[in-house]
Amino acid sequence: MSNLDHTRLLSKLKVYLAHTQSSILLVCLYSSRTDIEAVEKQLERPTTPLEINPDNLSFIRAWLALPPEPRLTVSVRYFAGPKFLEDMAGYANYQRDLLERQNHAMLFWLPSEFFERFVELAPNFWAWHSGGLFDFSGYAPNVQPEEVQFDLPALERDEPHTLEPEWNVERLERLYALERETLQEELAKEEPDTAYVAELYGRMANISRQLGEPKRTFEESQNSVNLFRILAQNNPDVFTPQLAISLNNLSNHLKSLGKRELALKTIQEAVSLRRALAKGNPNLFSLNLATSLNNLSNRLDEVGQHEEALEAVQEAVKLQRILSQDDPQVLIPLAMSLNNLSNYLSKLGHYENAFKTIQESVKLYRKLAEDRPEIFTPDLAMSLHNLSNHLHNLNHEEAALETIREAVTLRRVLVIDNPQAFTPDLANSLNNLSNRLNTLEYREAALEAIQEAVALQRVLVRDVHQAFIPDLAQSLNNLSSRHNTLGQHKDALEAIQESIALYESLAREYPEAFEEDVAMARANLERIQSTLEPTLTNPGNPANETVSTPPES
Amino acid sequence: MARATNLEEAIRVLDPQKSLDGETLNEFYVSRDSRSLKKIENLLKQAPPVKILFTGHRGTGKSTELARLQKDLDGFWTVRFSVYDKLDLNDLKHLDLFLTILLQILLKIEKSSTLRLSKNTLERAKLLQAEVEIEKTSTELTSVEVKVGLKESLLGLFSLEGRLSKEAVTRKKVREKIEPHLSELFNLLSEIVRDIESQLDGKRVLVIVEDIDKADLSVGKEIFYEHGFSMSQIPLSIIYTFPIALHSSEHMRQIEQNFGDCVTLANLKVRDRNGAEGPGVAQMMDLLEKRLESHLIEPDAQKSLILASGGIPRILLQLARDACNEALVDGLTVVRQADVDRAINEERKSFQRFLSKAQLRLLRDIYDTKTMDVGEEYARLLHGLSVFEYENGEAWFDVNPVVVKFLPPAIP
Repeated sequence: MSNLDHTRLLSKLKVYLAHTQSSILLVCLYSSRTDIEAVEKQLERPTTPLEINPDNLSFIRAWLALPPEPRLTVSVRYFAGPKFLEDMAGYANYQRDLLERQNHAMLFWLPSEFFERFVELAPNFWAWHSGGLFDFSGYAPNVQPEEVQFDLPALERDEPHTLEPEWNVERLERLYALERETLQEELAKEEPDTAYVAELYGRMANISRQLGEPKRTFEESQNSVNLFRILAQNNPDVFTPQLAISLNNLSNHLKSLGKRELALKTIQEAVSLRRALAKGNPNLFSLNLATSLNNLSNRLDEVGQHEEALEAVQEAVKLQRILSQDDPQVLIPLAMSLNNLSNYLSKLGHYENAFKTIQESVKLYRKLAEDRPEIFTPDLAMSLHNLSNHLHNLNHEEAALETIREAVTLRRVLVIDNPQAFTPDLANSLNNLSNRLNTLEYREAALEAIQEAVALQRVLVRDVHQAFIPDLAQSLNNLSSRHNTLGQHKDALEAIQESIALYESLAREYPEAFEEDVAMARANLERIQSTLEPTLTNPGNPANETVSTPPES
Repeated sequence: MARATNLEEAIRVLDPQKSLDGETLNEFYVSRDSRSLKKIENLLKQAPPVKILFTGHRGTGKSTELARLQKDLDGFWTVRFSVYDKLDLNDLKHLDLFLTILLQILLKIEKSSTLRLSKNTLERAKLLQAEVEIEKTSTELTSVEVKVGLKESLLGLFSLEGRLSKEAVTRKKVREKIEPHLSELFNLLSEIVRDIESQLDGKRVLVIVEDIDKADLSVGKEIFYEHGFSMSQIPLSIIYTFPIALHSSEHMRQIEQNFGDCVTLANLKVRDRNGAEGPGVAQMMDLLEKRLESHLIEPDAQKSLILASGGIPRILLQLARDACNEALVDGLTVVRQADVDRAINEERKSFQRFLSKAQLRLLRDIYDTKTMDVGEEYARLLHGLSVFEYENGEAWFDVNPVVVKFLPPAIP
């Protein structure tokens, strides 16, 4: 867009701000935050900024809390990355009429590349706009676009997001300071509102977690639980549900601290409370109980109590099956619980049942993805990925290959729309595709698939996060195996050496988690070396292959 | 608010978000002479109380028409409220509506200097209050006579006003308490209606509940589908605004069993099915002329705006305001064709950005056939205002005129 176009847009913006008296929505696009600053500097009056970030997706409350007079120009800025767009758009779309009731002007700033998706998600909110689209992307001259590190999907469904964008830290710290001040003010009162204090501790714990402060997270979360516990003793009807929520969160925080036993104990208490609540009011609390049971099964699995984990998720599935009869929305958590159930069944060697269960999950996700592909295609791909693993366990290799191919195809499409979010999943499925091809002796194709996985994971490690190193190390091990099978021993050697180096670096930091991998990779190295020494043309014994990527939950 | 005499005022007067009410209704209302509105009036004149589901696209003027209905309808004592003001749309259940209807009627009676409840009715109300109230009111008040005032007598009920929208815990508690007493509540409503209609010189009670159509579809489903029978049993005439998405759902047959036919406020026809100009043009012209002095916009520019609006008043106001803005940016005092073209073009650019090729192909098909299939993709086009629905005996569809220009060519 030319400077002239931008100048005209700015003039239009000013006309609207000068001559409207009631609510007005002006949708503006930016490519860097400096665009926002540069535009707003040109306005007659300063704006009131209101950030939308991962902690504040629903900006409605802040907007409604603005004083009605004097009329303000509120600069609502979406800084939360792609993963949260859907949630925020949902709030905006649904609450549009409430938003309209404030007689302020809203400059609604979106990153330029999110506009199309936003309109698709929030047509009702968009219909409120005036003056077309104020596309100011690139308005601020000579400024390099900011490098935004996008979030990746959470590793486990019941967990909070594990990877946070780095640019968030400063703001989060500001927010944390604000919460702490509010808490201190409340505590300084003669009669502090205990429920409010408990809520503030919970909020602070959430920010601390995102700031990577596990100890502080735990302490604040623990404070919140303690206060809700007192409140619930005096007024169980009102506060027991909140106590259960805070226990659920505390359990997650404890798990992050590696305190698996305590995390288990805590989620057990949450389950017990929700069981009582659901008994008293099944309509209101049964679904929450099922969610906590699902989390409980994860915690039990982590401490090696696989039988008990299975029982917990079975109960969750049972509840969700009943609830879904009246409420089709429950099919969504049911599909996820079935996925987890099949994983636990498989761990305990009940391969046939695991297979049937994952089939049901796939069926549900297929239906959900048919109705809402934009939401459920990732889940369908995940369940297909797992179904392929189960088919492999039952030696149905042809079907396993066909299924993982479908998962790869779906994930390729997902990556086109959102590479940041879906590249890790595609790499995982490519790794498994390679394994399935290899089993059926499609050696060249197997090599190609693992090469693609490695290439993707290298980019992820370089550009996104070090958390992808274990995946890369595993894929390199498999790449080495593929080369070795094809008699390409030098390439096999190079790949396994790189894999060992990565595993060793991981094992230095997390010995328990990666020592076995180091040993396995070293054994593979020895095998390759032994084949190299007598002759380079002897295909030799195939190297130990790491298992397919684990089931996804 | 007076008619705009310059473009700065026009920006204020052409507010697309404000439905007409009170003063603005007197100044800016344009009669639609709509069959659907006549149908509502006829239904209301029937002897037994009726429930009317009133639907229509966003921006067609439902709220304005309901305001007009309240003002002009003879023979009714009307209570009109928005669920947005009184309840929480995120958490709206049929039970909340029952209680809110009761409360709003009681509040209007309380404000009246002439209307009174009989002693019996008041006792019924107190009995129900004793079951519903969350905190016990002062014991002194329970023996207060009718003359002291309804509010004081029914403090427990009146104290719920405002709290149902703000306090989730209160809502839940009240629901739990009121559910076993639904028949009692209906009886009470019936007695109240009887009491006040006896004092209204032949007028009848009518309640208009607005903005349920703006809630999530699941809310509409809970109220009209899952509890349609109870909703239809409230013993007085009620007009509910109804979600248009539910209107085209598989649940509609069941809903109509309880409520009868839904009344749709159709878009104004600025073109007919064959593309010829329709009667809506004159109505839309009237709409603009009531708000702007005629010298502020050139006649051709005005016509272009109307045709581009597709017959949706809110879109006309939006485009007209944008055109005024364009003229002001150029330092002009009159809106010319070029300003309208710019305003339409800016709107078109947005559509161009977010409509996919597949959607454009669907739109081409709709444009050529004036019909639309069912399915999520089509519903999305309707929601996104790329397609409009019209009525001409039977429903037909057309593409938003702003979008038409960049449709792909027709397949021969």
